[in-house]
Amino acid sequence: MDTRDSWSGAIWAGMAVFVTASAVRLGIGTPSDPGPGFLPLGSGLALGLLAVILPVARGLGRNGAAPGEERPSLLPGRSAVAAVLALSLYCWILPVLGYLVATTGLMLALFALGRMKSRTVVSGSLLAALLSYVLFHHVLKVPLPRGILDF
Amino acid sequence: MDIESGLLYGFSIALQPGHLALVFAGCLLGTLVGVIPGIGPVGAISILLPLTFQLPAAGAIIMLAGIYYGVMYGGSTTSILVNVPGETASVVTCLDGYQMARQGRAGPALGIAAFGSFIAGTVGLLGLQLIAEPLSSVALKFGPPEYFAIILLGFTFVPYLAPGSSLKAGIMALCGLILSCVGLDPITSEQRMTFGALHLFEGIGVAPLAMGLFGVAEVLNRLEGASFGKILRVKVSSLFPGRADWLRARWAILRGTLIGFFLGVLPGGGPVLATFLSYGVEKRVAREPERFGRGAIEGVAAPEAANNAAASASFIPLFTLGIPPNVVLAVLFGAFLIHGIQPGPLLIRDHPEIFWGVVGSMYIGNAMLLVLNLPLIPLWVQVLRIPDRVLYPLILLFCAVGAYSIHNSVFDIGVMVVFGVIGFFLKRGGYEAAPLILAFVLGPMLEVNLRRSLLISGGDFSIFFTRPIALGAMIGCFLALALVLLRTKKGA
Repeated sequence: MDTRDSWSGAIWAGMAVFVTASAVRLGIGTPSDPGPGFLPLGSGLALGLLAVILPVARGLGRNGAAPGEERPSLLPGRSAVAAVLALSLYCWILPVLGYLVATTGLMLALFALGRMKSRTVVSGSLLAALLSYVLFHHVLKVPLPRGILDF
Repeated sequence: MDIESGLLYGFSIALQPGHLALVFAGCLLGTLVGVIPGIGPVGAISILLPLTFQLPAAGAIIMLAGIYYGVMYGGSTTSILVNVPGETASVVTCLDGYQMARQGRAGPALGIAAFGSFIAGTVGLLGLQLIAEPLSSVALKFGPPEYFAIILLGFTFVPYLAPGSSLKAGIMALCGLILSCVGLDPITSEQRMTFGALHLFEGIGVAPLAMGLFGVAEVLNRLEGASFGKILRVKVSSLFPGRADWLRARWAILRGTLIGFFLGVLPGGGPVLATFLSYGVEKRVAREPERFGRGAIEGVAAPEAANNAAASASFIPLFTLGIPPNVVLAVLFGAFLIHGIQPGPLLIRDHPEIFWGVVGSMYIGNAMLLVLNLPLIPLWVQVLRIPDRVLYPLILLFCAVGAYSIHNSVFDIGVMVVFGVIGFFLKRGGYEAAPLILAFVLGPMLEVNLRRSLLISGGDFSIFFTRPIALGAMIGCFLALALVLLRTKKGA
């Protein structure tokens, strides 16, 4: 049995509780003078209601997917995880190492996922970093981070 | 300014060499990205948005509009040649377009898609220029209750019109609404759900959000092995449909145009619904409905016409009311704000160069797509042959640098990555991200108008039911909710 709707229902319910609690903390105000928590409260309560209905609706086949319908695995594979890790690392090293070095590193990691020849990976990464640098820094005048190496 | 002088003024702006180059670049880049399956107009506009940052507002919007209809055009090429829709609005085109290509009629299929799009796009533009100004004058009389009711109507239509589960679309819309609350309160300036992070004081940016949910999430999904279809090795000889093709397609184009135009204006509607409905109508009115799905040219002409008419018409609520009717226009709305332009009833009066310039550029762009892109079809086929392992890293790089360039902030790349991961799981869980983005953009407008209405009425909710326009929109909301319940019951 595919339990992902039950899991997602639980996540939405958790989010609804958090939002509702935040809304109350912020102050709901009164109907004549609604506070900052007024809309979040309404949204949180509505989300909570739908979160409760979701697993039930799944059982009744009302969520758009027929019960027993084959759906792709929820868990990401190695390539997706590696790409996310590379992008996360990029966020950390970009201000430190500067655009050219950090971007070359990112592209090395991403191209390597495609199982290409190492020479292609290296040349492709350098080319992608350089061309994007020219496009964004010189043509579009985006002040890209220079980093400790000052380029 | 009357329509004639407005149009002349628009052409005088759009025909400036710089703007002409931007229309060309927008159409070309839009088609290029639109050809790639999975990215779609939202992803394309989000990814290409940074290219417009250094441009003056009129030029930027002209280019983004060019990207939009370029993407819509590019999507049909992929549908016909690969049987994989470049974007959701091209799903229906696959049914008969691919069959035509398999029968060696890829040329007429691509040709009728282009001509149908051109005709419908032009008719849609005529409607836009005729309706926009009078509607803007009416919209100037709208107060917060009218705006709230109309935006709420858009919200309630989202679950009904969304493909797949209405329940999940509703959850996504609520998530978008909640995310739109992050940042400083629009009335009291108190911090809301910012966790004390300085970067979140201004809220979450629509561009990193859209890039993450559409660009990054799509690439992550594709990295997992979801591959494109097999590209047909067909020789695209004559792109001009024959006399018999025209005879079959002419009424389909007209019907598709009308359906697309009316659904394009509808909140929550837009090109996707228009294509499905126009295909259904064609099948119903056909003398030999069994030809559909086996290469009927009407099955390509009608949805492609509907698609482009809806794309043009969807600018009407954005330009006149400041309300984006669908997710693509929601991202464009964000782009307007980034460039310091507030779409709405005052746009035509305060920024005629933007409104008429965009209208003029759309006419030119439509013609440009027809004249330039048909000969470029062999090039688009080559784009489809770029290996995924080269294409995906480049898309991720473009997204990352694009997100950075909005505020020159690494934080925005982080936001994009986080929403990319969230988008990946949403997609795997059967959730569509489009309602989330639409609600995210409409959220602040909804909240401000709700709170102002209640302040005006002293907390009396009957203010939404005592003013004619607000009442009409509220009745529409209840009808939409009833339709959702009916559909859910039918689905069960």
